[in-house]
Amino acid sequence: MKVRAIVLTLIIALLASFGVFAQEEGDTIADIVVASATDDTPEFTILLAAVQAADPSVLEALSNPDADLTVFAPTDAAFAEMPGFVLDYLLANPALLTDMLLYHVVEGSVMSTDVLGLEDGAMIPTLQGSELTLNLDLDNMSVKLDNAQVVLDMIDIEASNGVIHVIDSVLVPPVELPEVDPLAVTDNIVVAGSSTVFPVTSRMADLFNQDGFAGTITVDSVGTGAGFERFCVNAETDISNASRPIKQEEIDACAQNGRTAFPLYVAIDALAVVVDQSNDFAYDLTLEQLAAIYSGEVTAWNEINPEWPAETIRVSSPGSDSGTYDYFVEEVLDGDEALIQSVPGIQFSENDNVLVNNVVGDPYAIAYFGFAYYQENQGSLRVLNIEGIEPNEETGSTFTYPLSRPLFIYSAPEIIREKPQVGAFLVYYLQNVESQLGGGEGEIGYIPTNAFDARRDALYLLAALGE
Amino acid sequence: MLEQAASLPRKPLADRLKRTAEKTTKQGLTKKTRLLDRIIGGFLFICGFISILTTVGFIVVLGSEALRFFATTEWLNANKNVAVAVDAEQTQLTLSSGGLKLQIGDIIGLGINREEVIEIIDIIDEQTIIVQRGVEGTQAIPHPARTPIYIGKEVTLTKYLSSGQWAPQIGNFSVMPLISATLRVTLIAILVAVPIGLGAAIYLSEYASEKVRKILKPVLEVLAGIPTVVYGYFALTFVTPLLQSIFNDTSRSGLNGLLQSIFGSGVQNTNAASAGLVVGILIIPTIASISEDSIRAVPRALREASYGLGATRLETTLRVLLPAALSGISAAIILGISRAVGETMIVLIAAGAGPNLTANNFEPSETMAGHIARISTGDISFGSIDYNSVFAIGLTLFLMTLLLNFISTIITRRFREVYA
Amino acid sequence: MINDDKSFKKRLARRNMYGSISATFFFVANLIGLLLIAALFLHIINQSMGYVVYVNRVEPETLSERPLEDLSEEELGQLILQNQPARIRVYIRDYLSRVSNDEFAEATVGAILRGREYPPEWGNIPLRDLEHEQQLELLYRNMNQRQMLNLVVENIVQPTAAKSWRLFESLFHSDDIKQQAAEEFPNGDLKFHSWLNWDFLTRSVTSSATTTGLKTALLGSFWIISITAVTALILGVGAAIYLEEYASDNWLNRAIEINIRNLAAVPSVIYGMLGLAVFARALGEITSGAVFGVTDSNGRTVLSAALTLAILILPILIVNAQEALRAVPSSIREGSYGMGATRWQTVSRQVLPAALPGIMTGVILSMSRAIGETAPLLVVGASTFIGIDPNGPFSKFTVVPIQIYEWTNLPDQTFKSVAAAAIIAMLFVLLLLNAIAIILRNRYSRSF
Repeated sequence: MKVRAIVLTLIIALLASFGVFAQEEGDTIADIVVASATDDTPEFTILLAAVQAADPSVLEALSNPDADLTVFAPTDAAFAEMPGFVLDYLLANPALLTDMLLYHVVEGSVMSTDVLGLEDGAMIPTLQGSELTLNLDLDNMSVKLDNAQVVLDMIDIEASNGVIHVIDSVLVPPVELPEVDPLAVTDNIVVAGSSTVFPVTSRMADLFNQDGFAGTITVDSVGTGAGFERFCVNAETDISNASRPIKQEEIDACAQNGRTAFPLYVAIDALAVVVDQSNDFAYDLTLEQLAAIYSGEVTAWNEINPEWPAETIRVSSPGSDSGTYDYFVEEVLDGDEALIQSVPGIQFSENDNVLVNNVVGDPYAIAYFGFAYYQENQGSLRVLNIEGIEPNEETGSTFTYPLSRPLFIYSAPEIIREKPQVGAFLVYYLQNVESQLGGGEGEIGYIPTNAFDARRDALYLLAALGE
Repeated sequence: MLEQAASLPRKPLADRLKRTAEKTTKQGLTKKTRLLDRIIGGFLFICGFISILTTVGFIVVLGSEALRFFATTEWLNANKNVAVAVDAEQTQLTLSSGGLKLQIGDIIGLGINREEVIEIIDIIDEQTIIVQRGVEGTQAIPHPARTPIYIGKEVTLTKYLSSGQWAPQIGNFSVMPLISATLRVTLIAILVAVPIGLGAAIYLSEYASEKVRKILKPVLEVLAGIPTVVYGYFALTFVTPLLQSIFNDTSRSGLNGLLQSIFGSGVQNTNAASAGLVVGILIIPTIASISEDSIRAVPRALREASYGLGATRLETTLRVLLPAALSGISAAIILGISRAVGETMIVLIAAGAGPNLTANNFEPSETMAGHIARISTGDISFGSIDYNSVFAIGLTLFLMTLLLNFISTIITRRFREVYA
Repeated sequence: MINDDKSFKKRLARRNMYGSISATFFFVANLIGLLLIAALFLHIINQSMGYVVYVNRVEPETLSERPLEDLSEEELGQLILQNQPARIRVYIRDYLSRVSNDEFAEATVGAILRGREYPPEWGNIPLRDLEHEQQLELLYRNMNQRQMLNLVVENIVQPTAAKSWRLFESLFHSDDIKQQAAEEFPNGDLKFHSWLNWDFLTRSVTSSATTTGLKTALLGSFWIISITAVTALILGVGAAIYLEEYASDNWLNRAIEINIRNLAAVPSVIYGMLGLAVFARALGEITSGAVFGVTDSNGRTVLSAALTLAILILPILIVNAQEALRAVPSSIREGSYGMGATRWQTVSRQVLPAALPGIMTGVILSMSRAIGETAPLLVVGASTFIGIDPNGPFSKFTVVPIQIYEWTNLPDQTFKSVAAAAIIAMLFVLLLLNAIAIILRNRYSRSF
């Protein structure tokens, strides 16, 4: 551990010595930001605009020559990750913006070497009042604050009144969402998309109705692709369930209909690769073996392991319109769809229940789908370990299980402003989804998103509500 | 006659005639009412014409979408990109590794919207190709590095009808796995339905007393009135477990062992056999009912002549009645086949969900109708390859049933025995 | 040959033997048919009822020391207050409110509980401004103990079916089942349950087997069949009258005749594709109700489905109606013409009334076909899960057979029982319709 820390320190010191931002003696943090924003290759233009739009106290603090501060500065690319309307909303709301900016500022100059002295998981108080969480992973040479990666070749930029470290995404302090009264909104909400996300959204819809929403919510389980088609091309749904991020052409189609699609991370799925309980040989597969099964390279179990029976592997997969299929092809088969499509005798269905039925009672069958469907059918199915790692809450939320992936719902601010019930439902969704996830009785077998993703979701939603 | 008139639903006929006559007389036999008559006539003609419109609708809708399927090039993401930026002149392209294999003669689209289409002339190594720029009406333009490339697959009728695999996503367009499954399910159904249906028809028309017939026939016809989703349920939750308990005996001894060695690894959760058996049950009443009608339609004189010559009941039936009723019976069987070919819910629920070219009826197989229903269930992206391909399959299915119907019409016309 | 008495007798015996063997076979063929019907019905009935173990989400013992049944309204109310304070207002809305749901959020206690019991001084206060305790007081003062008990059981205790058994198992192995249930679910409550019951028919669909219902699908079927019936009746009878009474024998009319017979043989799934392309897509503006100002809908509506089914049953209906019209003797027509009636007068006043029973038989038979159709509606685009009851031609829809299909697909065995219950309900309606048709046919079908 110590050795690693020293190596990292050395590397950092080396990198820092080639300092990207050669600053003149006596420049304040504010000066550096201004300088690099007006540079030939401008870096902090949005940050600068934000500081200017925020409460004047922020600028004063950063340009106060007597202060001693550490600033985590998000690049333009970091800001660009946020949908445009979120940025506009922030720029138009100085109070929130000030909060956010101050959340990037820490009292006293903390140099990279100081950081290495801290423990993983340390909490660092900010000027905003809330604390940043430090995530130190020396094995992978990664330093993270909340969800933001510190850009290792852009740290320790010294100023007369402190130090700047560059980070690759914007930090979001805890954001308060408005209280919603489900009884106060009516009319309908239309949702369609991924069958993986379906159990979550339909549960939230049930609860929203039970808690007093008198309107109607339809949730269609049609697959991610068809869901985006309805959301973007036909512009007929209000919310789109997705088990993969939206594609560029879908964003474009949305834009043509005047919709700015933005994601909310609602859960993490540890994609389950399952066999029947009567299967008494396969307990663990490597990603390579999984790829071999799903490319038809091996067709019998004994070709994977000679001790396994010489029986044909009966392969099932979600259909090609499903986000789970896209994810699997991308993750396991390196995006080569031809492989999975040419597996002899492979069964496809957009309906995950059909996949479950294909496996139940058949010791030589295999399928994969969202963990929730495995959990619902634990009595008859068994989940495999992948690369020796069991899919569970811990391995899923830390993404150590190789097939962990976030699940999304998409909506657009234009819809939310036109249909207040959609906004109310989304707020309700974010506030209550965590309590419905988990491995317990009656819970849906996905893993809650981490707190930082949840904050970012809340910020996006707040901006979309435009309140 | 009086009795009959009295049982007419409302008023006695004579009364009605009289009132009509009175009214007509009052109106003075003018031609006025003829206008109404004409309008109504026109409306009624439109009603009749709707059936023609429906047929035209089938042909136009299925045809145009299927044409779109056959005429256009399907672009498949090759999971490769242009590794080094190219200008408008270069003919040697460097590509990223991995992804689909390219072949000489392949048509390739560059960019998400296929801004330029090129043709491969030569392949130097896996990552270097020589191409003809700007083909198929596109202009040669510069492309930045990492421009995605797509392989164009043309769907031809030959590819569609030749043996192969059905996986439109990766450019395999052979409909044969679907047709083979359809034929297998139909064959099993016919093997079940013809002996039972025909046997029932002969029994009802020749052996059963009038009383028994009056009860049995409607009861058998109940089978025809049950929705097919119920049969699908029956196939999945009753017939498949039954087959599994018969054939999937793990002891592998005696008859079961023999069967297993013939049929391989046993009955799977969805399979063609159980769907075929239940489709057979579904079409028993179709075959029984029409066959029975046509056997009964054979004139009494023929039967009596046969008995008079000393023939037994079986001989009369087999040698006299069946040949005489052959046209009706064949029409019944063809109608049964046509129903089996187009049957959807049973195969959707019980036969499986993957176009799978196999001869083993205990393995999952997907028929044409089942594929159409599965792909278009709930939702289907308009203009996508799935949407168009489903219409091509629909057209094939439509033409098959039309052909069967045509054959049945010809048989009834050609072989109908006319008894004056 | 005949002289050879011995060999004749031998052959005769053989011929007779063949005869009796084959007679047995022909009889067995019928028997198999009957057996299949019996197997089908028994299997479905077997699935539709049996023992069920209920497990409570929250054990009543943890809520109260006394049995829930013995608690007063107020004590039951306290349980709600402890467990779901925010729901109290919802229960007031669902069980007591006199104002519409849209107005409820803002409405005063006086408006909401008009004519019911409430402290007069609260009359002008909006309900939502009251404390939960005060809202609770309004709730239990206006509901009886039974109603309050139901609220607590349904919303807090929440019994759900953990495991179910089939009818025959339940009848013949009840001891084993009781033992197994006691072992696996020590807190469970074993009851004999028929999945087909009044609650099942009147509840909307939910995602739990215990609380799901058929109402949504029944309403969907009802709406679709109504529109289908009206459309198909007008078009079908019109076409039949045209072909039988008006059409001259030219190529066009012959083409129509042949065409109708061909259409009857087209697989129903293909009709679904026609419906998808024409009604749901091309005429989407009309079928979604967009031209009538209905928003938030697409072409996959009740109307599209109904029109698709109407086109599908037209051939059957026309052929049946034609036969009924043909059975009306020409003497009636000639008599009418002889009295100077026009063609339409003849048809509308003489021929149609006489053919009506036959036509109605055809209509009923084709309706029963339409009720059971699944595949075309799947293709036209029934919603996979809708919890809303359809309320007009432009609603999204699901129908009974599609709901059965969905339930059949769910891996949970309990849903197979739910599907069986729905099948019985549907078969009951269909058999009833068929019986009516047969009675109509037998009563009025006679040659003139």
